[in-house]
Amino acid sequence: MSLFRGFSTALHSLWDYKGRTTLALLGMLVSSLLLAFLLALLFNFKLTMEGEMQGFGFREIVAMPGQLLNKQFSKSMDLSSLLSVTSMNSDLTYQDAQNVKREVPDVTAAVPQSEVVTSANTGSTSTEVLYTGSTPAYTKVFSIPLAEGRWLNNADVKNEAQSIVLGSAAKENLFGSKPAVGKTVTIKGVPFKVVGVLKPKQLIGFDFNDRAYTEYQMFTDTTSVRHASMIFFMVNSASNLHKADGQIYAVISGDHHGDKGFTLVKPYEALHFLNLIMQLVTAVTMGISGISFIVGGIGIMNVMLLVVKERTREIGLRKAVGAKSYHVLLQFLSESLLISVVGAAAGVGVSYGLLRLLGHYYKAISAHMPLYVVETSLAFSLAVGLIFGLWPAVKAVRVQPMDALRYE
Amino acid sequence: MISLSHVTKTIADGRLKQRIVDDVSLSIDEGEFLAIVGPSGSGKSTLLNILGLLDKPTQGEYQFGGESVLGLSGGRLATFRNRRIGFVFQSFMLMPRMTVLQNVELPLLYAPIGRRARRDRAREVLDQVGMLTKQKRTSLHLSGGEKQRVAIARALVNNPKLILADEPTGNLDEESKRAVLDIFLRLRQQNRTIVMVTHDAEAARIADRYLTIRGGRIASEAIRSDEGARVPVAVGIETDEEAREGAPS
Repeated sequence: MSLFRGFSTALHSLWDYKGRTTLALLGMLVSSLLLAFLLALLFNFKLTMEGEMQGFGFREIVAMPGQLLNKQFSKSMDLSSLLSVTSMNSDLTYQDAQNVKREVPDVTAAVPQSEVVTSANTGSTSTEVLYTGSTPAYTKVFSIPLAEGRWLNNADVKNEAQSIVLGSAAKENLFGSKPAVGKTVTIKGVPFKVVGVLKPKQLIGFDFNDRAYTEYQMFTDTTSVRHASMIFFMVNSASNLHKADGQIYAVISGDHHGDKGFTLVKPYEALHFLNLIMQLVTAVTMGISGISFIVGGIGIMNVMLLVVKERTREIGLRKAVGAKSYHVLLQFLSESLLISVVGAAAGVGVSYGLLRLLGHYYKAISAHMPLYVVETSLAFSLAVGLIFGLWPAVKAVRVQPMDALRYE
Repeated sequence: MISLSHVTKTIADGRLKQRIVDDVSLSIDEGEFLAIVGPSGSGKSTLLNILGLLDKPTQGEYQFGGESVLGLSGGRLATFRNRRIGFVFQSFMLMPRMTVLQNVELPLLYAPIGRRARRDRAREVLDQVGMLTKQKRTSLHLSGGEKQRVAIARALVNNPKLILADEPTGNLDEESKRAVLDIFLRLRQQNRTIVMVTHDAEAARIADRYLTIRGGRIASEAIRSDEGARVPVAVGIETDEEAREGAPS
């Protein structure tokens, strides 16, 4: 009897017991749904978080005012220890950025940023914005998708142009749904020409949408702020991150005559923290799902034991006409495997549907079903089908044909 | 072709040991039709199960085609049954949700034969028992006689050396019984080796040889004369009158 024939026979036999088969299938469906949905959710959560991190990039170092309390351990820190930074006024300057760019060869871009909350108005409309000064190289640090126009350029710097780029919320508040490029926005009494509008963008701890960006020199000329709130450094390679970190620290602290009122942050390192959390949650998920699979497996075993009992005469007949032990074993194992794998496949399908539904309502979360989730669910179900189908199958093998033929 | 020598089957019933088959020696020639009769509990079905390799005797020797078969492993016994023995049961033993054709094909699933050949062979034997037109029906929709004809087709499908029938007419009405006996008559004419356990005198009458079992032993043995009369061959076992009493009326 071929393997295909064995599975075909198993399928027909299961069809004869639709009610019980459906219940056992449902058990496996729920187990698989739980595992696949939670794993996929975790995967997508991690993907979203990594996307946020990548918004920063993996080759960046951020200089920010403040000191880490236990600085003896490290000159730099990751995002997870931000809460340990003491608050203080910034001494970072535009010149610090220029010096690092000049003296640290691995640094390909050094971008200062400074901001104040102020009002912006169009003559008819007014709103609060984060008036921000930065440089054209800002786009080397952050990927900034534009809804309209362009980003600040070197010509703006050279010509001291009164150009401004609006974040999506700032533009919405000032101009509604109408195009903004070419219009005038007055900030700090200066009439700026809107040259670009950003698409909505979110990043942990950063608000892009309420900002109004102008060139750094223009910003300092129009405000009393003289220090950068942050300086973003782009390093040529992730492998040089550690080396560059030390050099940047040396340059800035040298400029500040040893005053160490700043800290260097490597956002990439926060990923390790994220991975640690994800591993923990994944282990818990697998544990809970494993228990659920065991319950589903017990359901399968229950159904298969009943099936073996009810089909004792059939087993006897098959043995009488030539079925060997492995034929019987294969037939009943095929049945339990079919229940578990079909149930698991249905569970994965339903979880994919749920994921898409979730992604539809919560756009921030991606809705991918990674292959390893499908593989894990099917592997779990195969194992459950084999383990929990084995005992009923062995019971079927042990049926003596003569006793079975007499069985009523 | 078949030789049983001093075969005994003992079963334990609590502390009591009971001999179901008691020192039976028996030879069956190729092409012979043997009927085994006897009262209920006499051990005739157990003897048939031993002949069909569904049960093992406690003592004795069993040779099939010159081969000693009692020492065969479970797998080889299954193959032996599949290739050489066809079974017909009183209760038909058909798979209710399978079609007639699938039921007849069942033994061939465990034989080295392709799908097409399997189908062709199953149709051929269904034709022999007059059931080809109903090959696509499930056995749920057949009469008792039709079910038994399908069961006979299943027994024949592997072209076995030996056909064992346990009360094949026991559950049938008169008309169905006649149709089934007609098939057995045709099989006898084809020189098939048949062993039939029966309570039915009419069924037993078509056999070449006739054994009466009592208390697990062969009580009498007779052969069928050319005129159809029963002629005792085993002297001193049982009188003709006693045999008639033991035989089904």
